[in-house]
Amino acid sequence: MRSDVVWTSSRISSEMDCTPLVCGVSLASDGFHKIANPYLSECFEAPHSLVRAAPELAPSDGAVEAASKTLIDLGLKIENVDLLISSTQTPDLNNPSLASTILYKLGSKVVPGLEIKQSTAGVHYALDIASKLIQLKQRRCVLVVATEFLSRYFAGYHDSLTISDFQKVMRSRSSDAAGAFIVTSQKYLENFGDPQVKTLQIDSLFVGSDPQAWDSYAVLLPSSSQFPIRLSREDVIEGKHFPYIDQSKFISASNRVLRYMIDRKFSEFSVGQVCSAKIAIHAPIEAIKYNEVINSTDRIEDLFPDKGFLGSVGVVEHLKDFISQTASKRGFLVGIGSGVQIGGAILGIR
Amino acid sequence: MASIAAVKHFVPEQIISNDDLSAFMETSDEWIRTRSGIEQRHWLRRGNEKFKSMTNHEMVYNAALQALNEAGLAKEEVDAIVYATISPDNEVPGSGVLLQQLLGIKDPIPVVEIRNQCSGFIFGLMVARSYVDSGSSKCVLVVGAEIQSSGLDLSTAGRATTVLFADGCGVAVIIPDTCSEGIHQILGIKLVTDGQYADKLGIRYPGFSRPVTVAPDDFDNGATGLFPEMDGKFVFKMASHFMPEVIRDLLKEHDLSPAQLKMIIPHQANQRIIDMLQASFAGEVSVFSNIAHYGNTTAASIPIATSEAISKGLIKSGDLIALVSFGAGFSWGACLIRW
Repeated sequence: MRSDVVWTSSRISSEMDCTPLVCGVSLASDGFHKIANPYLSECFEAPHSLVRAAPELAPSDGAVEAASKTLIDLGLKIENVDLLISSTQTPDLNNPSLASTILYKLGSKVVPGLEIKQSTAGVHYALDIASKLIQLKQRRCVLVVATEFLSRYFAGYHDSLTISDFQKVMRSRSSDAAGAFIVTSQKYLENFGDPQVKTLQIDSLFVGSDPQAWDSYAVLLPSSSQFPIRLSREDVIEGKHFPYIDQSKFISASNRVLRYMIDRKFSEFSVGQVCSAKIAIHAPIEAIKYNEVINSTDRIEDLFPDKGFLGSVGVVEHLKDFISQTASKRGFLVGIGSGVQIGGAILGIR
Repeated sequence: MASIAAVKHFVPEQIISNDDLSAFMETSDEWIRTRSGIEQRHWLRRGNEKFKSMTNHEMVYNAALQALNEAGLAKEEVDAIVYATISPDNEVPGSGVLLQQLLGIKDPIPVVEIRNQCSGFIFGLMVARSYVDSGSSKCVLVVGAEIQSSGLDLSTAGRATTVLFADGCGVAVIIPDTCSEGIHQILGIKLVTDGQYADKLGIRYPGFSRPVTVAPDDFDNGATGLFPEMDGKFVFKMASHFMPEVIRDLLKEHDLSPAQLKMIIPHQANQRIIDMLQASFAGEVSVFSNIAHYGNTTAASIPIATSEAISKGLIKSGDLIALVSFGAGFSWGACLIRW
């Protein structure tokens, strides 16, 4: 056993209550600036402002700032964490995973780092995996970090380059952000952290993929199936590695999977019953596009008009909003992204 | 408790021998064999159109059907997919959703896309085990799959890594253990990450640490940032230390000893590492190796090796086996299975 391991075996007392809770939700702010959207004229329905990370920031820097805030707010150290789940499609390096760099910068040499790439549903998948591991007592304290520096896909763009209309739509809404939170039990907080912090209980959670319209929002290159080389110089010059979105196709597909999720998986909670105040959806399109399914668009919280598309970090921003507000007790939080991958969660404030 | 119902593998038809490599780079069979133990590897359609072209997920589909058939399960019974790869069909979304589509699974199911390099399969087993043990899934496909041949430097400048990496996939079917004897049970998993050496093994571009993820200039001067880079001696030193350690730590956590192990199935990175592992458990357990024929298939390495060990009758019911990985990150881990 490595001598610098502070925590003991992952097998824990059976007396410990293992209801998973979300707490310590934090967002990176150093070096992140809101800007007026320079692409408004290019795209109808573009957000009026976007968020940009300073050029000298690496995604791991934003991730570490958020994760550090989370640990400090909860009175925890990285040694208390026994798993990091990193949700990102924008790592510092092509590989190894961003999780490795985040853990190193947080000062850990032992905590395992799982890296998942689930687009906007990434935080829901992380919640799903973390909550199962906590309930099963296979982990005690899971740090979830979401990092998306989406604007950097297009940073190589220059005026002489012709990009498609679908790529212009993605460029008009891509923003940068990082966020973090902990999934653990109340007992663990009492023993090792701050038991007074506000927490969210996960009442119900669903994650799933509907691949019928997988190409409605995608980044096609690099592709291991492209020969002789997965990404060529010509591909880069022609911008073939930029993201794109076919909005009408994505709207149709994501509405379909959203309806499936609500009808089949949240039937015991009709949206009207659950939400005294809070419904939140984050997707690469405006939440109003889901009016057909949700039918409560005047109550849907949507970051898109003000901050653009933040990928899985958009869900963390909504989590922070949930956990900080006092008026309502429950909320319905949805993330929809490329795949089409969807995550939905009913959360209760304790 | 989660159990492994079946493990099957699939590799592309085309075999590239060490002599084939020496036709386009300065290397030799003797040089490759003595340094890595590799005699040949499978690459997807490398300059020979008579071999069938396929994508990452199409390759996996072949192995998945075999594994499901072995497990006596239908495609429609798959209720979650955990897909570990560093060479997906597209950058976004991952290959897991494409596999779901190819399997004809229409209702949304969880599809987890894992990026943990050589340890991806064991991380995938951790996720799958949680899905099964929690009762939310009854049939999880855990995939380790790579098409690395399209991302290698075929010039002499790239020979240090190009001769090592290869294509292939393995699929495990994870189900609840309903048998009282506990056949093929996953007893425990231990994973570790130490990121201080992230620059010792990996690929830099495209990456997001710079404002530009990849630029045309990156393709100049040998395009080194676009291909795998490795400090081989350092990786060997670290693997030699941590692979045996994580196995021993996991055995100890479960009140087991190395003497009770029947077989270790390691990630197939280099025969010298495999030999080191054998030496560190001298006389106590056999260590499986197939690197001579398959090369280093990163996330696919362990399931391919496990599939072969099973098909060769080397693992019998009741045997205690350990899977062990070490790879870029660095991340490493072990999984104990009561077969």
